[in-house]
Amino acid sequence: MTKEQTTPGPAAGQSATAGPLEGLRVLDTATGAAAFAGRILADLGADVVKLEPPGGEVGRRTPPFVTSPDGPSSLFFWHYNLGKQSCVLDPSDRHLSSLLDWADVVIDGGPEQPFDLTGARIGRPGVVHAHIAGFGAGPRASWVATELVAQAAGGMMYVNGNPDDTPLRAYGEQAHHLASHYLVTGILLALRVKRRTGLGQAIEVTLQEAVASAVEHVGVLYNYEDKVPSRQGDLHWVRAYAIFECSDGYVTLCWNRNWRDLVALLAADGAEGDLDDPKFEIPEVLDSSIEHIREVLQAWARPRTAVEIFERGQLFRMPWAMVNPPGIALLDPHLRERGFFAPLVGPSGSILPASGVPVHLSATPWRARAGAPSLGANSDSILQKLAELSPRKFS
Amino acid sequence: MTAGRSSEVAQARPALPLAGIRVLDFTWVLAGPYGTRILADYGADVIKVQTDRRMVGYVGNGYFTTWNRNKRSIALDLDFPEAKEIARKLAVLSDIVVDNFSARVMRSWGLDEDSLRGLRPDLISAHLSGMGHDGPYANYVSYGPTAQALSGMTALTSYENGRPVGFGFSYSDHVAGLTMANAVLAALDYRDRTGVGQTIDVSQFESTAYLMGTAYLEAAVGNPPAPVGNAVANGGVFRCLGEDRWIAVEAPTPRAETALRALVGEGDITTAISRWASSRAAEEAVMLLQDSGIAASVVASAEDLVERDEGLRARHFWIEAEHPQFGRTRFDGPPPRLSATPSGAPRPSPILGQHSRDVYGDLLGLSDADIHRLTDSGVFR
Repeated sequence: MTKEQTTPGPAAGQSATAGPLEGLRVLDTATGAAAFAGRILADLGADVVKLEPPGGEVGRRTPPFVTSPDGPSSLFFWHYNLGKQSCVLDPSDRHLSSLLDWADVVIDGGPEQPFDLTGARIGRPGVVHAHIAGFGAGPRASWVATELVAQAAGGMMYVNGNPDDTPLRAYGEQAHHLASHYLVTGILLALRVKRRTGLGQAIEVTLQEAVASAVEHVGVLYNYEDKVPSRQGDLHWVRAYAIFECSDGYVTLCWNRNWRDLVALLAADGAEGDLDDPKFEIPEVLDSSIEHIREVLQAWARPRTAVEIFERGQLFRMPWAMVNPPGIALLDPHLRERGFFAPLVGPSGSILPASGVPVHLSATPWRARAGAPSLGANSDSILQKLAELSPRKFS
Repeated sequence: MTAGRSSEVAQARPALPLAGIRVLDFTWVLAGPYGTRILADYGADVIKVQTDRRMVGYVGNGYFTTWNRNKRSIALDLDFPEAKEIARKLAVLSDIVVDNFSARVMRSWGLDEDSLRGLRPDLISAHLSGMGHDGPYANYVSYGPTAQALSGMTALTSYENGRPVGFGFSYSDHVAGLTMANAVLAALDYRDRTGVGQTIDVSQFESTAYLMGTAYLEAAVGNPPAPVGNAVANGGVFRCLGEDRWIAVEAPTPRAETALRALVGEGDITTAISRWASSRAAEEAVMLLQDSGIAASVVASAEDLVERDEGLRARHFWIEAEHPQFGRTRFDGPPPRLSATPSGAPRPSPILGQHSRDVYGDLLGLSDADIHRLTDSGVFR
């Protein structure tokens, strides 16, 4: 048994309330990036027990890794399981039933996890039984999905990337992130029903649908204008934002705010070219001049730094920004000042900047509170608690 | 029957999860309306406060229609002092007030929480903005691409060794709206148990940064990630027969890898899949792969999603509502499928001011004469 990881940082020390969902009991068997749903609930203050088989779930063996005293340790697992407790059971262990009795919410990792949760609601009508599927109930119930496949199936990949090149995956696990957020939505809705009726229910969110509901123009243009939007590289679909090279990297600029302000901004540096011609204030002319406008903006941007362009643009109320590499975003003064990063003890024993505070709630913080548990860190204490389980439930 | 969509047939069902909850909604364009849409889908009475000056969307009717179904609309021009007083009265009758203005705007209208909390102590006041209400960028202008760029998501959504490409759309608008909806639901849960309301400050930048996975951690330990495009072990994105037809394939387990090998043959795996896919229609290739237990999908276009996807069709993912002006309107349904309390049969997006009379009359108790007067004087416009 390894020690339970806790945080010494101020983030944990000062938390009088554990968040808006304090007292909610969640049994979480989701694996990989689907574990994010449980992490969101933990960030919101819920008591999340991650149930794992001996050896742990696959996330613990998923890169990237850092070196820890016990060998390579997964940053992936750490990120997706912050603030949870780990309980290890053999899938046939009779304590599974007690854990199901304990839980208000069961997040079912489906075929990826070894525990039999089919009876989670039998004799437990109050349980909210939630799961993320790839394609979900229906003719494609047996189909399997990964992140890459889900981004393709949901219509996101088709509209990302260069027009003459392969459709492009969005960075990271966005299908799983969207589905996790939506699973939390479903769980919170179901808890509200449960408070009123005493009854839980089953919730399904699919990766495919979660993606397909977050692709802005794709359905809109098809359903209302009979258009099939495709890839247009770094040019946003409204054809008025793109990416430009500057002296130390890249920036995103747009030209659909106040056109005269944009011309004034460029003119201050003598870089407006012919853009002060009033013809560009005619939308059709503007839209047919995109290549030219890009050339003028590119010539202005090239010798300037990304930060200089960001600040100058904002002075003129332009929503421009640095295209930050992640290492620069990590140092961003705005994220720092608002306390976005929560310093928590990482798997290597040093402090890591967890993505800590996505939203500021005045009374009950939404905040990462503790590192991820080592395998089975809480098994003993959880099983002991189950033995003296009170009948109290979240209500 | 597929779980999680209500049929047309009226049956004795439990009330929708948010029945009885009122949301006064000052948001517009995408992020805010996307967030309040999910609340409306599950039974909240979302009252959209608009003026005719701000009805303009980007792209005609479809954009507004898609993000504003199931909501009610009142016309109210907050430049009038009387309008501010009416908005305050409506706020006091609401559980949740949502806006996506700067802190200054809501304060100038007397609609910030400091002004309202005395009248409605348990109010949940949610502010959605690009950067949040404090910090060095608090007053900066931000659209979806701004937040995506600052967070690092644009830089990493790129081909290997290429210049940044990023998203073709405003992904972070969806992210911010969804994050806000969850914050509101959590705060509502807390309020129901304790009677305590609160203020919610949602930054689009931060809600996007929350979805950056391990990128910041990797940077912090000295190995910042670089863009990898579609690179996965045993898979990728491959061209099929036809114009701009592609499939995504991935075989992450040894069993799937064996099955994939049985289909595509030996040699370099990427070359083998590429050759195998290039002589097949995308749908056929996906069928063969999924039949062998390998994760695969057509790289779906809008037309695939709406017309050809049997799974989405069987699950009634696309839902329709008859709009009084535009006829039949179609949009994506809500992803959470709740077995006992599915989302209701959709109502179309409202026409500007469609529900002014109901709200001002039935809810606020204004007389017909008052409503006429305020309409004529431009307050309800």
